[in-house]
Amino acid sequence: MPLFALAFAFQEPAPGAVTSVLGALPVGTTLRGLIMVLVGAPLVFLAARGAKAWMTSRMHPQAGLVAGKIVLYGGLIIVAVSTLRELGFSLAPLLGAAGILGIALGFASQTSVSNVISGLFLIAERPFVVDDLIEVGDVKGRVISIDTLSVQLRTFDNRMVRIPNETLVKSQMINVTRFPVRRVDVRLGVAYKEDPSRIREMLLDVARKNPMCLMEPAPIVVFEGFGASSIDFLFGVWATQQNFLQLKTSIHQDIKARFDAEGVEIPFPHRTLYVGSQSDPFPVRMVGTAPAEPDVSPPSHDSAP
Amino acid sequence: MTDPRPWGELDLAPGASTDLTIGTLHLTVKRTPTEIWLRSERGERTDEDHDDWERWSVPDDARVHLRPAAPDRLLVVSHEYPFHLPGRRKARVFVRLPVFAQVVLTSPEIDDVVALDEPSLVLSDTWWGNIREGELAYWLTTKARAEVSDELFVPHMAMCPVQLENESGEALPVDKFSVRGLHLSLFRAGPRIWTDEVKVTYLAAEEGSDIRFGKRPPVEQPDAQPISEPRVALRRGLQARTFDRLRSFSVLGG
Repeated sequence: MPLFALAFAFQEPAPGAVTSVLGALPVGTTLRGLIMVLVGAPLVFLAARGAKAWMTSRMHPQAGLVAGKIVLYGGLIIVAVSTLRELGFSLAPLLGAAGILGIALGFASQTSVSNVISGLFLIAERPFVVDDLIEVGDVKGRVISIDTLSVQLRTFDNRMVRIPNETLVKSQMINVTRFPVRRVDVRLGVAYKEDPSRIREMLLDVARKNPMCLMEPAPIVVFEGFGASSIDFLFGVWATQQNFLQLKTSIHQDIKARFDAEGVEIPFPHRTLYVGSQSDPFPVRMVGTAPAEPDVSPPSHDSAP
Repeated sequence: MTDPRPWGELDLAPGASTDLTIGTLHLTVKRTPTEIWLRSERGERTDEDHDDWERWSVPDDARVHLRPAAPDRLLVVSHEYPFHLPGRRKARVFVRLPVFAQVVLTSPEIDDVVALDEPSLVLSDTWWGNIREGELAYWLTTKARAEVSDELFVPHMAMCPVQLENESGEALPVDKFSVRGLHLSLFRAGPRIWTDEVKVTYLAAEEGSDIRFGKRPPVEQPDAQPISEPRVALRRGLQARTFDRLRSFSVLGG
């Protein structure tokens, strides 16, 4: 009797029965088992796909992913158990062995179990869904899948980052795209000679003239305080998620252009270098006439390594 | 300045081109033996050579039409002079909406193609809803006139009659309301472009408003002919927030 048959209390075929290539199994039983696998497995895959599509259309992609996986794994277990029973394996010893094995595996797979449970929390809490843009630590990317053990992100430079579910539950996570509108904050300083009321009106007018800047929620201009070399403002304008980056670029350009046109000075920090005594000027010594410029020709593209 | 009569079929022989101005939109349409070339720009029209043409391969017998269309999303109409509508009162106001210019290619051999669909004026974006949900809309400042006169009609603007009815028991401050551009039809009578009537019945703050679209020329111009179907047709009206507004947005915390 083969060893695996002993282990799973395999029942011997009747004397004289035609046996299959597996040795001890009758051909009919083997065929039935084979048919169960060949028919059952594709059916399970189809059912998983259907469950995923149905739940996605009814609820959201995340629920679809989970439903698909539950149907897939559950269905495959049912097919496997049914096939084993058909082949004559008694499952009681198998389950007993699985219990002992489970304890051993449990100790060995604490991290995985923690990730699975964390995954269930993530599904229940729904802090993000597939396609959201999230920030975890110094990683920022779009969620491409939420799996049993981990969440996969695609970063802006098209790399895939796998973050264990446990890490997501434990750490601070920012969902950038949860809400449909976002504020672009521009912090700027103008020279002390400028009139703050005039600056405020100018900034609000810049916002009005930028079509991507939402009129509501209304833009804000906050006088933040007296800086070291400037009076400082916070200028906040709202944009839809789709226009956020474009507005961030264009509003800075608009402010610069408007300030230039209106002669508003944007001060910048000055630095004075002292060499030796603070009161002495920076020493400059003429050492003769400058040599002629060397004749440097641009490198040829052909000579590139 | 908008061409006085921009709308209709463009008579373009192969090799010919035409320049049109509709609001702030400058449009150039050029015909080659097998293609229609389109380009649009804003601001000052430039005469230099451009490489940003949009090319459409069309049958020889294709015709080019320029037609107005209603805006492609919600418009938040803000009044320069807000008013109050007491409970159980009605008011009729007229709002001028910038139309979109559509270049439509037609031929018996192909389905009609909207090759270009751009607003005649650039409108600012705004958000209609709350910070968690809502929809992107255009912002339009208007005088919301109680009467119309000839000089208000320009080719790139459509006059939208809005019938406001306050069925609640309380006075309704009308400083802004929304007009759902997607469901508007356009009608034309000579140089005048009208939308169908929008009837907004305010029920209560929690219930929103009942909105109905007339689907026929307004009573002010019953002889107007239909020139543009709604982008999204509605069988019946809809119930939506029309007078709601964003609150507590302008604080630093958002």
